[in-house]
This record gives sequence, C-alpha cells and structure tokens, in this order.
Amino acid sequence: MPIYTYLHQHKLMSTIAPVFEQSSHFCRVLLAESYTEFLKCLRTPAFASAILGFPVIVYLFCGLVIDWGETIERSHQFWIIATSSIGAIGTGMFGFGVYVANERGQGWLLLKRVSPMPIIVYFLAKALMAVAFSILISCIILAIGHAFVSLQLSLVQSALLVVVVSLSTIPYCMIGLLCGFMTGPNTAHAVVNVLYLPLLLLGGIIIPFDVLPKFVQSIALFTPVFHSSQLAFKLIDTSLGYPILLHLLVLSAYSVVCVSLAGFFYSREKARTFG
Amino acid sequence: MNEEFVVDAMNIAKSYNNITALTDFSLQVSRGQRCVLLGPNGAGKSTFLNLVLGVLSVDQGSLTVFGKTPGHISVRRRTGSMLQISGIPSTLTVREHLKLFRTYYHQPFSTDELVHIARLEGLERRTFGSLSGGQQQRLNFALALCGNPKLLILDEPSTSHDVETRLALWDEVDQLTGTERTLLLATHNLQEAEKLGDRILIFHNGRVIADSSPEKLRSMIGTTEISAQTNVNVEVFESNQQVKRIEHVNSHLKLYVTEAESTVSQLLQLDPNLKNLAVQPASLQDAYLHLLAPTQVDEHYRTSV
Repeated sequence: MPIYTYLHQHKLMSTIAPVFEQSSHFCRVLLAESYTEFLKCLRTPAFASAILGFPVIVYLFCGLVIDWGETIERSHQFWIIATSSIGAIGTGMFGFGVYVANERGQGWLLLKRVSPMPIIVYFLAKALMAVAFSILISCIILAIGHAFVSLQLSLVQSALLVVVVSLSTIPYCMIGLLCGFMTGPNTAHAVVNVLYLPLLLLGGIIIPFDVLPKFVQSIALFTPVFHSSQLAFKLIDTSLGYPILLHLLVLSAYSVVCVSLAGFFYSREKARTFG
Repeated sequence: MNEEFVVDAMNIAKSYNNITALTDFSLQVSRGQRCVLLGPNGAGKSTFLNLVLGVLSVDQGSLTVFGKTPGHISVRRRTGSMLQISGIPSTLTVREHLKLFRTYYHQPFSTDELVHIARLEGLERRTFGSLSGGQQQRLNFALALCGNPKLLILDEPSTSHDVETRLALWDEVDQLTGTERTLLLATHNLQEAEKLGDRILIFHNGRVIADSSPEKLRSMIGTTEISAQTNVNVEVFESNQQVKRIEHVNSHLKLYVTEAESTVSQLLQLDPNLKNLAVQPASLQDAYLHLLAPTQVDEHYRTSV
C-alpha cells in the first residue's frame, strides 16, 4: 500500500502535513538566511580582511617565514592547527557575537523580530556562517601549507582538522553572543577584543602550553581555547593527553552556560529600546 | 478569539524606568481603518506601535491584535512594519533583500510586484548602501509589504523622501490600505496625516487627547480660518457663537469660525481699512496646535478624570 494512501486511511495526513509544511518552511528560511548571511559578510571588507586575513597572515609569518630550525616539520603542523584555531575563535567571537550586537544596535534584529521569521533562524544562520568561515579559513591555510611546504598532514588529518575547527567555532559563537548581549551594542567589540588576546595566550596557541608558568597553566585549564586547541592537537599527537570527552564536556558546558546567560540578557534587553 | 477588531487595547499602561509612556489607554481599530498617530516626541506613539508589534509588553490592561497576543506568529504573518530605524545591511542588493524577506511569508507579493509598488525599478541590482536616503526608505517600505499584510504599521515612512517620492508613497499607501488592509501610521507630517488617515489620534503624555476624523478635528476649531491685519478690539468676537477661536498677535488677527460670511461682514464693519483679508478652510495643523495648546490639554485631563 502506498504510504500516502496509508496515511490518508489512518487520518494521519492531517497531522503530518502541517508539521512537514512547517519543517520545510523552516529549512527554506534557514537556507535563505544563511546564504544571505554568508554573502553579507563576504562583501564586508572589514569582516573579510580581519576575520579571514588575520589567521592567514599569522600562518604565513609564523608557519612559513620564520625558520624554526630542527623542529621545522612539527612547527609547520603546529602552526597549521594553531592558526586554524585562531580562525575559529575570531570567527565565532567577532563574526558572530560582535555582529549580532551591532545589528541589535542598528535595529536589524528588531526588524527580524517583528517579521514572521522564527528568531532562532537568525542565530542559527549566523552560527552556520561562522562555521562556514572557519572551514574556509582552515582550507585556505591547509592549501597554502600543502602548496608551499611539504606539509606532513594526511588528507584524513586535514579533513579531521576542518571538522574539529568547524565544531569548535560554536562555543566561541556563544561566548561572543554573551558578550554581545551582556554589554551594549557599541561596547561589544571592545569587550571581545579584551577577551580575545588573553584567550589566545592562555590556550597554548601562540605560546606553547608547556612554556607558560605553572600558575598560568592552571588557569589555562579552565579556558575554552585550551580544550578546543587540545582537540585539534590530538590530530598530530601533540596534545597533553587529556581525554577527548573532557574537552567536549568543557566546551559543551561553556556553550550551554553562555547561551543561557545570553538568553537571559536578551530577554531583559527586549524591553529596551535597541530591540 | 475575538477578531472583531484588528487592534483591541483596553486600559493599557506602559512605563519605562518610572517614566509613564502610556496610561489608561484604550483603543479599538476595526478592519480597514486607517489610523494616524500624531503627537509631540515622547507622547507615546512609538510605544503604542511597539506594543502592537509585540516588541514591548503591556504593564497593565489587555491588548490583542487580530484577537491574539501581539507578537504571536499568526499576527506577525499578517503584519508588515516599516520602522524608523531598520539597520538594513548595506552590502546586499535590493533584490537580495526582497528575496530573503519573501521567504518568511507563506503568500508573499512577487519580487517584481514589490519592486513596482515601491518604485524600485532599475535599482534591483544596487546594494542598499549605494541607495539614496529616499530610495532606502522605499526598500524599507517594500520589505514591510513583502507578506501582503492585513495590518500595515508605518513609523514616519516619508522621512527623507523628496516631494515627488513622498507623493508617490502616499498614493501607494492610499491604494493599498482601507477595506481589507488596516493602517497604523505614526507621523509628524500633518499633510501626510490628512492625506492617509480617516481616523486621527492625537497623543499627549501617554494619553489620546483627540480621536476623530480629520474633518471633525478641523471643525472643532471652526471649519474656516479668517485672517487679516487689523487692530480691532477682539473682545467683540468673544460673544459671537460662530467664532470658535481667536488669535491676535501684533495686529495679525486669526478667527476660526463655523460660518465665515457674517463674521467677515462684521469684521469689515469694525475696520473697513483692514489689510490682507483672507478666508480659507482651517487646516489639520491649526486643529492640532489648538488641541495641544496647554489650556486645551488641561481641559482634556480635567474632563477625562
């Protein structure tokens, strides 16, 4: 019996059809919103140059220009992973958080709120855009690495790096979102800037973790950057050996706490002027 | 749910940080009505629109839109809004913006229809950032219309429009609203109010101090304005039942009357040498200024208590 006839006979069609229609509408809106979001950011020179440019420049300088002597092989791999992680952090915190804050200040978020678009789509699309940019950054860095040095990173390792980096963008989106809603629209950029560099330094991305003083190391263990970079360093067997589950748990906890707090600040702000 | 009224507000109140934005406010807007919200800055117009849009929630009283809570998805699907500040991203083209907004609705206008209605022909491939202020407002208007809304909310829509575009926008709004489509328009432009409104609400300090048609509002101060340069003793006109209002500043006399002929005769008898005599219909602006004059506002509050 064809499924359509079966559903009709059991009067399930009237139940399933609206759900199906709603889901397909949701997906259609999400697709359009994500595509537009990506286009919008790609066409914004400040965004493209800062978010895309910074990790690539760091890689070109530290990964290619500086001669690390005997450790050159490992340093190529280290800088590929480190700069890809920098890309994910920057995209999440600046590309997601600061942009949401700006658009809230300019009234764009308010216009979205009064439209019939589910507001979750707005945030999902921004997160997808951030993930897409992280993937793009990793791919550019990997392509440069493979083109200019004999990078000893297999295709599987490269693919896994892209997956790890893209997923680790999410907690930074949530941190950026919290910064965006906790502070005013005009101060979000400054607050994220204040957080960004210490996070990079503590996470063992710019300065190797074992070089950091002991008390700094003990602080670093609680930062999300440490855990996301450790996940990435596992790909080249240079992690400190903590279990993957611990890293995932810490990053998930950061995401949940930040999104919950952001939700609280968002609902508090909703009643104010910059919607 | 009762859908008799598109907007049904009963004794609502709203304050922010101990500042009262709306107090004891009631309003019913029927389908197809075209309501214009007038009033000085801070009078409560935008607060009311934000409550209708579901952006703010009422502190007291009840407010429904299409019989539902403001902000409900079914309400948002039937409402189109053009806000004063929209922060439309500058790097996307007109067509991209329209295509995106159309996806939010189940039965939207086509992109070409929107381009035509908002007079955006030839600008479809231009980015929002490269448009002039008036063109940007036209795109903003087109976005409000995307879903073929039953309730159109416009907050100062003709700001930064040149004269031609403003007139064209008024024509479009005039054609699009009424009968099936309800309009809520907040403006400071009294010409706009007169052209588009069949119901004028004048806000002052969070209350509505006048709610009537433009014609009735004008007739409140007399339907005709007589002006002249003269030094007659204006006390003579105070006993004239046809004279609704007298203004006399530096020998410039203005009388708002219900019947002009006899008052003009009386004025000419009193001062045959008067200069610059003019007789014209009273404007909405005259009525507006009259209603917002401190004595009138006080009187309204005294009578409404």
